[in-house]
Amino acid sequence: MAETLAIMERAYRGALEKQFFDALYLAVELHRQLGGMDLLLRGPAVSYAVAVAHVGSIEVGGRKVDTLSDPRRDLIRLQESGVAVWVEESDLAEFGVDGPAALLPGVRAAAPGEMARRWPDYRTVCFL
Amino acid sequence: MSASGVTDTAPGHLLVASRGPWSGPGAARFLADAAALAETGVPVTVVLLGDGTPLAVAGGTVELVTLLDAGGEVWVDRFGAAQRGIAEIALPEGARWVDMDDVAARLLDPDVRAVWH
Amino acid sequence: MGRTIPPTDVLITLMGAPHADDTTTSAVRLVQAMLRQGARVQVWTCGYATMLTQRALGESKPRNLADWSVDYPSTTALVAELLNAFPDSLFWYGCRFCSDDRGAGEHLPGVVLRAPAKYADNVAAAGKTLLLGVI
Repeated sequence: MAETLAIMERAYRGALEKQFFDALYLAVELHRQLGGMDLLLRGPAVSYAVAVAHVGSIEVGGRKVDTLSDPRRDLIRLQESGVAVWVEESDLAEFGVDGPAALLPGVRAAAPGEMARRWPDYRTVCFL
Repeated sequence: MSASGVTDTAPGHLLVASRGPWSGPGAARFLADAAALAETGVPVTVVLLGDGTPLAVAGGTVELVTLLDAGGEVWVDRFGAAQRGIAEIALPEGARWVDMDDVAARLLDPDVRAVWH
Repeated sequence: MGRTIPPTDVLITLMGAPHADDTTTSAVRLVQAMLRQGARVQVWTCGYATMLTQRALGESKPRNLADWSVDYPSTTALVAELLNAFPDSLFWYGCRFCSDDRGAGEHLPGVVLRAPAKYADNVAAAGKTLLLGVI
């Protein structure tokens, strides 16, 4: 049982300036340090779990920047380190996610209120 | 375990709502989480702070009233309300004015868990 | 040898950027209220919140042209006030990675920068942890 539940709702917070150090990178650290983490994605963050998204590169002056934040890659890394990931199913349609089948393998859909009822099971619940 | 499924030692929760509707839908969702938790019988106190204070205006938003009906406690920070010119409003039935000393005291209760939105 | 983190009742992890909303204001009000009630408190800053304690901010905000003689304290000066008023019960930490990533430079003496990998020690030393805002 993970000690921490992290809820992510703000998304796409600056691909160019954050690059690798986004909230999902921080989540790997917290998972490792704080006795395990479960992650719930809601609102725009549900699209982090969409399997088909692609992050391109951009040109800045003469430089090609191909190190923009890649939430799907980060989410897969999180899963590989043992983080259980949920999305709130009531937010999928609004963000163009065609149901649970469009999600990365292993990501589960949570019904409204389902995760909130489990808050007492965690040592810490936070927005990340 | 009680009849509602909640253990008798379920910790009270202090949930700080510092964002309002113009911060995005997350504010209402946080109150919905609070109501879902309160419905399980867990003692829930939501503190409206900062941009969360206008949620108490005009009888409260739908989500706030739902939370109160579910048995949640609602506190409203008078300092933040005063900043926003709403320190003299009639609060929704069941809500009460607090100051930061009240919030601190509740947060310091070892049996209370806290979440900040 | 690693630093021993003094145990506290609460760890406030301040992640949200200042100058965006009342998160910093509320955090300071809450920390003050807890300390006045005799609690022991840690603050750990992340992201742009690390910039609250920059030495480069000096003691005062830039001059108010509309009120030349009034002193407006910088956030650095205000954190110094807290540390001076509660020397045995308030401990202020900052994430070194975030501080570097945002060019926060040197910090107020009394602020301890720590590697992100050390955050767990601060959490373990606190009765409970509260995260305010997001990076």
